[in-house]
Amino acid sequence: MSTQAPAAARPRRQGGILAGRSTRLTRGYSGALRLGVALAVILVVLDVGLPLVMHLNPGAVNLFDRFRSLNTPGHPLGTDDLGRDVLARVVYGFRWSVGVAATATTVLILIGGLAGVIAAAVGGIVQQVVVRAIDLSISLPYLVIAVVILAVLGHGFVPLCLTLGVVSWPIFARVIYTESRSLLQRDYVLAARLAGVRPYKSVLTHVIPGLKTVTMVMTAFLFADMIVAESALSFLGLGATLGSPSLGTMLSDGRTYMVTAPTLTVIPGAAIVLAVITANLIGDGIAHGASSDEGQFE
Amino acid sequence: MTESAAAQEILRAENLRAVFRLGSRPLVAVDDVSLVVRRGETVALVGESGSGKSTVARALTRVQPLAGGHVYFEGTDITALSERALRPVRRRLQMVLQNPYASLDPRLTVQRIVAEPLLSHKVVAGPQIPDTVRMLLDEVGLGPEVARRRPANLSGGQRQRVAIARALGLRPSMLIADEPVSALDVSVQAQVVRLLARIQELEGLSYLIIAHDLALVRQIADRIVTMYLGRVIEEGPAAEVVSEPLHPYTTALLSATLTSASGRRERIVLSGDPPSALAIPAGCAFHPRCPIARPRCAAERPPTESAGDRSVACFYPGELQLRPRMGSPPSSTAQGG
Amino acid sequence: MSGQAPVALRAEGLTVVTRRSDGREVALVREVNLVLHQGEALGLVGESGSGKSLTALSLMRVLPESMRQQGTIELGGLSLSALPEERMRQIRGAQMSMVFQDPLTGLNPVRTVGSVMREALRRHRRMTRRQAHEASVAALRSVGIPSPQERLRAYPHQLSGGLMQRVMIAMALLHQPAVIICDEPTTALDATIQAQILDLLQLRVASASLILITHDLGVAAQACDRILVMYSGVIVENGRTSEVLDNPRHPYTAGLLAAAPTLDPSRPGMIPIPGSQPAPLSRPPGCAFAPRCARAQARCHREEPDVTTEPSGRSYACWNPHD
Repeated sequence: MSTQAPAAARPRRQGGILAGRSTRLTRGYSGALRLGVALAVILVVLDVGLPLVMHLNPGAVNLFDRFRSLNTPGHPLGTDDLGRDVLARVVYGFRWSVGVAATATTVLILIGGLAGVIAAAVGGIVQQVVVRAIDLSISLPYLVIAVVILAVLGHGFVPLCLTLGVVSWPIFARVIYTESRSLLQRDYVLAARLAGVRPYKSVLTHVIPGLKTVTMVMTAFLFADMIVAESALSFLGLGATLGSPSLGTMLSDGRTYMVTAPTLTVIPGAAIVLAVITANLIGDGIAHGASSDEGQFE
Repeated sequence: MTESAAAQEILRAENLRAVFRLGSRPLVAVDDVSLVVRRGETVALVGESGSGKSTVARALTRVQPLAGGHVYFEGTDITALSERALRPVRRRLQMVLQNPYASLDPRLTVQRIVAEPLLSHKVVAGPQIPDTVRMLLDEVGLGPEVARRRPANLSGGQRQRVAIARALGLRPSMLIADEPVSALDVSVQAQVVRLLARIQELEGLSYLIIAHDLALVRQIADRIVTMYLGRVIEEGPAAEVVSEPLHPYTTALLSATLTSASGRRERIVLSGDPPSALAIPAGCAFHPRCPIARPRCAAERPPTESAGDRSVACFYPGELQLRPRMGSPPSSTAQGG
Repeated sequence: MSGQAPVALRAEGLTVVTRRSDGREVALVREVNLVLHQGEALGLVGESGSGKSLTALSLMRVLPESMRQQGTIELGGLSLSALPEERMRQIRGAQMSMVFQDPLTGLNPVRTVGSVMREALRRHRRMTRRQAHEASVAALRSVGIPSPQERLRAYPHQLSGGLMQRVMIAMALLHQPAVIICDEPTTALDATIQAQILDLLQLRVASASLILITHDLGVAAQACDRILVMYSGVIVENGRTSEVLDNPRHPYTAGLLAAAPTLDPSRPGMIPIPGSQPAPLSRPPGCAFAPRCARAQARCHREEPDVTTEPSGRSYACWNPHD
């Protein structure tokens, strides 16, 4: 009795006969991904490259050179209230903000991811504790908590990263928790259990790979959140030290001169916006690109 | 029970009880269910939704907690074993799930899916996996090229074969199959059933098949156990239960089982929906829908009576039978009585 | 009986084509001809992938965007295939309606059953809220639902599958359609409930004509006067139910009958058909069933069989049929 399917079986989507074709909508979203990645590349290249080709000193104070406007020779973006070069400060400030955001995001992904998966897989007391902790943290205003923690830890790169990580891990943990629980309900996880596969192995084989997409998407969005959060904290005077510029401190410093020298706030503000848009485009692009793949898996 | 008779049994369930808690109300899904599967035998557990048959299957494989009763597998009481202690048991007692579209991880290749239990129990070393998987796929009638594919590229019948290959890899002595063919087309059902029969012959496996279709079950099972709202209401050799059902529910189910010869049998149409397991009727659980119910049925719960190899839980067993209809067109109905 | 009655629905050359992601077009339903007489229950029988559901959707002209249909459809003399969408919308739900396998299909879970029924009523008839409510109660009663007022206040997920399917049938019958199409209406239901629903559908047939789509020969045997057997997008056999099931002409029909389980010990049952239905893109030349057919001859692999019609009205598409 021959039982081999004639020729190659078509990839069958759960939806039935409808082929998953790129409609105008999904093509629009992969465009978002491409745009986001392109922007990210441009920003990184500029941020790394400009200091190499130009002589940029963000901290050089020159009281004779204050409030220079755009396109001043030697200061393409002008100078601020202390005569410091705005371009240099934006480049280094961007570096700082991105550095903090990236580190904080990494920290919170690791803590939150572990917490979420373990809570979902282990159940029992551990699950209760983690879930309550998540609910509690989310209900508290992050800015207030961050302020309190930073007041204790002081200024600097490490305290900022730690604070942001500690305050934000529950957001990611909750998403991972729900996703993991959903994956753990699947029949194929039950089938593994019935075959005697050990629970931790089952989690590694069946749950973790299923979290890839949501992790990538959340990383992008949380990164954007961290940029804004860092800027906010630095704006308030916490976080960034007096020496190292941050987009947030630039906003704070320039606030006094918003009417007379608007570029001092607009330019760092634009940099923040640009970073956030880039991250969001990437997150959106991955999310929608994945959801036309995911349909194949569900 | 003599020793040789005991050795004949591969699975014994005694007085199983499973309760779900919905808020404060208990839902008794399985109520005092006992059954036995002998070596090399195929037993079918038949019932409709709400009968508790799937819960029994899950209880037997210890993924459903029991509120009472015992499960013995190959002589050992597995009722209270820890997950760790169950591992060696699981090698010998395997289960195939109902939905072939959900029981395979869509992200893995067939090879990884079939290999997972083998690697977990260290039955086969890494380098031997491709050959072993190929052999298992061949046993279920799939070509070696299937190993590289993902479930999305397989038909329902092919997926179910993969699930069976996965279950067979550990060389179990018993297979519990929960509605193994319900999700498949008719011609594919026949293929998979034939495959299961062939494997049973070759390997001497014992089967417990959970199903809702009496016609299917008549063809593949040695014994039929019928369940209704958590209770076993009839049991006996398959051919006899189908030709002469003792319990009126079995008769009604038989009548509702449509085959291409349906136009010619009498039809008994039960009134109403089956009551929810949250509100199981007093006395005989079936009495509100039973065409031959009498006052006693509402007052007392009928005990299980056995005679020879048949048993039934009814005060009036054998009274409701189907009469063959002569020459009536397909679209008329008749009431039982 | 069915030969004399007027035609309620006629389709000719019905074809459904889809465009794949690589641009290629493939036909999922090919040249289907269908005649439904008034008062008749017509079964469209086939396995998954045979095209039976798509045929039904194309009769109502509700195919997904990615597909297009060709061929003519006539509802009691009115040509549907050329109708503008506006007019078609007036016909759907009123003169022609459909019941799906999953009774919750397309139902908003946060709307009560009553609210959905009232809307279905007022979509095609002017009536006050009170009138619509009374009509809904009457409709539920007519399909044998006890305590209809309570049911109208319930949400879809609160009702059992069997009950919801009755509601859907009631809704399909609200405007006394000429044709009601049921796509596997009982597949998701228990056998005992299935029996009830099929009975209900048969009672309706007198006032409406029924097209019943199913993969289950037993359902067709029970509920249909005539059946069409579909394989790989084409109709392979057509005739009165008792004739087709007792004496199938097409080897696929015979194969399906042999593959189904039987209650009768004297009939073997569960004999598999080797192989599987070809995917639309990998359809072999000639007869689509030939690779699996024990009666296949050289011609079958080359030429697609013409339709042979017998004097009794039976027809089949086979070069080497059973007799």
